[in-house]
Amino acid sequence: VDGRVLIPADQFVIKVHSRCDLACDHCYVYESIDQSWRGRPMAIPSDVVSQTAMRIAEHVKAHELGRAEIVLHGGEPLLAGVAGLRAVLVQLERALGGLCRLDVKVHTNGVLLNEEFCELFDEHGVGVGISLDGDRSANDRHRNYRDGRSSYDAVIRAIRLLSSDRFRHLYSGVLAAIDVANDPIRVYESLLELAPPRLDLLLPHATWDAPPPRTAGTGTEYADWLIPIFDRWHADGFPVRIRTFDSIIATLAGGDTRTEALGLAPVRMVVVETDGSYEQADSLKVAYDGAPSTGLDVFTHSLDSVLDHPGIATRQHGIADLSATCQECPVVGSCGGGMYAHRYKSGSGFDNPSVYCADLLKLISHIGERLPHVARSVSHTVSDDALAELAGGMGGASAIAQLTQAQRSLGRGLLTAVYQAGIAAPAVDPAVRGRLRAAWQVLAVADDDSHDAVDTVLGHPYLRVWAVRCLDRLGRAGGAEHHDDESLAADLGHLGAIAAAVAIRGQARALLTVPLVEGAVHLPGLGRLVVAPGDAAQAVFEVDADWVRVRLGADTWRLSRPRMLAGEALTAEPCLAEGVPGAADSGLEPEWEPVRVLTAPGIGVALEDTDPYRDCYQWPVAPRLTDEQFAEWQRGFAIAWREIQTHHPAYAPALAAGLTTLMPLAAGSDGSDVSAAARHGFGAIGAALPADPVTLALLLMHEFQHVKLGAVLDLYDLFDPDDKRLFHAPWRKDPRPLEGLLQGTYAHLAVSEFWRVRAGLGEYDEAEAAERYEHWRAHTAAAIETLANSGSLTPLGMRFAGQMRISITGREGIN
Amino acid sequence: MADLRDIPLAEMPALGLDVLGRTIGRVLPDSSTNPVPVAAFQSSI
Repeated sequence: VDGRVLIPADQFVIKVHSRCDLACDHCYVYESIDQSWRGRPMAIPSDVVSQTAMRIAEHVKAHELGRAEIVLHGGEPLLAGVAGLRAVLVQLERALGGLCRLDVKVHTNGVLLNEEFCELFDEHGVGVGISLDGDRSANDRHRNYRDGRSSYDAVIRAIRLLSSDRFRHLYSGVLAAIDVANDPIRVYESLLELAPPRLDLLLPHATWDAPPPRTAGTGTEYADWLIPIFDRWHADGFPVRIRTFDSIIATLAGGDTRTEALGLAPVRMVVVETDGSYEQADSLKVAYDGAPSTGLDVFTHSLDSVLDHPGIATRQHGIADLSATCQECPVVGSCGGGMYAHRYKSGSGFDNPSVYCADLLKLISHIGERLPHVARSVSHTVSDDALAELAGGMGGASAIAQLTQAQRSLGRGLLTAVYQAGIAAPAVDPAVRGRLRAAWQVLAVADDDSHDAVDTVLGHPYLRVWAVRCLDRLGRAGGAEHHDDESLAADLGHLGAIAAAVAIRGQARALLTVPLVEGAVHLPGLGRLVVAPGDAAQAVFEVDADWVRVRLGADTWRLSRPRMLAGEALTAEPCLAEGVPGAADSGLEPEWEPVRVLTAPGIGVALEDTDPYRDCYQWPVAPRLTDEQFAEWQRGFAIAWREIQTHHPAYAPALAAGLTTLMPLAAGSDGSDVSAAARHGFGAIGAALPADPVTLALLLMHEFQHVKLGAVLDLYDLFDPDDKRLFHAPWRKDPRPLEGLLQGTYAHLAVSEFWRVRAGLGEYDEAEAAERYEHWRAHTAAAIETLANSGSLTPLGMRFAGQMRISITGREGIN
Repeated sequence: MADLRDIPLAEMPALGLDVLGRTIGRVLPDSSTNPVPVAAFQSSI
């Protein structure tokens, strides 16, 4: 608009009822200077809802938004009644259902919440946030009925209902307004007892004209109230998301805020009142009468018109919109001038720091000092030389090491994300959350005491497969939707298995619950304990320096920790719970099946045939190998490695540095060779053992190209991911997407090199090798040109393709 | 991709999914862990 970029809205706060059944004396809607609610309809009329839905749909289409967030708000939205809210939800879904993902939440004081409302919210996937200021005495300071009665019992009843198995997935969080007269730790503990997935601690709305109560006279009463909670939250291991703290930490780490109260992110929110008028953030009601007004409404104006309103447009330019004082402040990136309404002062309007400026400076500085590692985070890069080597199809140990370092960050990030999402997802059972916390505690301590053990376990290739699966499932269950509790619990429970593997490797004491999958307990990278098929869902692992004790029902067995680490196959010894040898009631004799290691000079590779998350390839996995089958793999691998070292020495260092795992796939039914690499399985190759070890050498070289390129693509954009065209790949009948073509081309650099060398060895297959070399060289060269001419490679992608071209065309003839 | 190797695991949860999304978002392109920056509405009722 007029040369400015219009930032579309994707959050729509709809006031479905303009009155409230409580009379909280700190309420900004009814108790502040703006009294516009008096002239508005109580319940939102149907025509306002349909027109609002149409405007949002129009906006979503115009800006191609993938997601719209709707907050049903008030007053008290539940006063609209079940039928009234159902009508609103149906109209919104009708208008927006096919256009984008619709996230709907309702924010309520909770006193009217009952099963009927919850069933409605369950039916429509509506998350529920509840307001509560802390324990009874804290809450009753302000949140009371008009006749002075406490709302506390009714709100607690509502939270208990939301915490029940039936409706837990709807529970979005609790919002508490700060009163510095309350004890901060008591408020924190009382709210934590209610196990909210998220917590908001809000500074009471205030301006320079109407400043907040400050009885202590320090000028930083609100920071002094929040800091003890932050310190306790930190010491507790961040047991709940607290939005204020999350936003400060995120911005200190160079990320973005998640609240309009902090940070420099643009405003993308529009409020629709019950009469259809558009408003800016309704917190502005505390500034002056009519402050939130835009003069626009859903009947006459599009949402684009609202975003062009000076009051909103002026909040979309980050630091440039702030006062001179704020612009010079060292914590402006985290504070962002605070909440817009809190900057107001008669005369200078909003061109001021927040009335909480001193509090925000003190709180942000404190958090930065407490989390110095977070504030210093840097980015991964791969050196130009290493990238050029990789692009040419090779890459030595150093290049692979750089890719591996980035994968370590990815592993740590994914592990944390699963933990975070798991304990925050309302749909996850509290017992499962408890097991996640116990596992995390072991991992966090081990990260300090035995960092190498954590590194080794997190380097397991299928950990990422597991994490992505969990996050995908939690993402889908993260909204207010039902899901398969049992299998999600088993997936999340694998964090216990990861922690157990770390404890065993790091000689740490630990007590952990680990899921049973198909009658076995799986410890990533170590092996599996095959108990028996049965109904048991989990076992308890107790790890100490010498023994790993496993309790399943009434039975306890023990395994020698050093022998497990040595990779020995073991039969678990029955023992009493205290570790004294004894008989198992069930008579079962669980077998420990270790992950075995293929060895050859200069390389050791795990033959992974136990991990429950290894089935991530387009081919079926092979079952656990017998000792004879393992011996065949060992013979084939040793010969294949000698072939690579002798005839393809340029490929050996990368393989030795980066190939950690071979995963046996089921043999092809037609006798064809089967091998694969997976984007989420860095360091691993899946293959059926070919009859000829020379073929295994080729498969290793081919598939490791995919492993390398996948890790490069984790770091860099080489092509436009939005280009959905399909391209001719000379080696396939079906056209391929750009990434598939790039992956195939990169892999065939190694394949053509393999045949070029092979054709010069004077072996039995000399003629066939020469023919194959010409075949693959021509195909690879043609595919490089298709990539280069696609118009969709990034500048770095063009450089990458250029190196591939040099590699394929610059090769000498057959040796 | 943010380098998370030197951040103790004990402190990692403090980052929240928003910051982690800068690292893991590349492997989870459709994930809610990779959100668009936005000053989200903060309810106050």
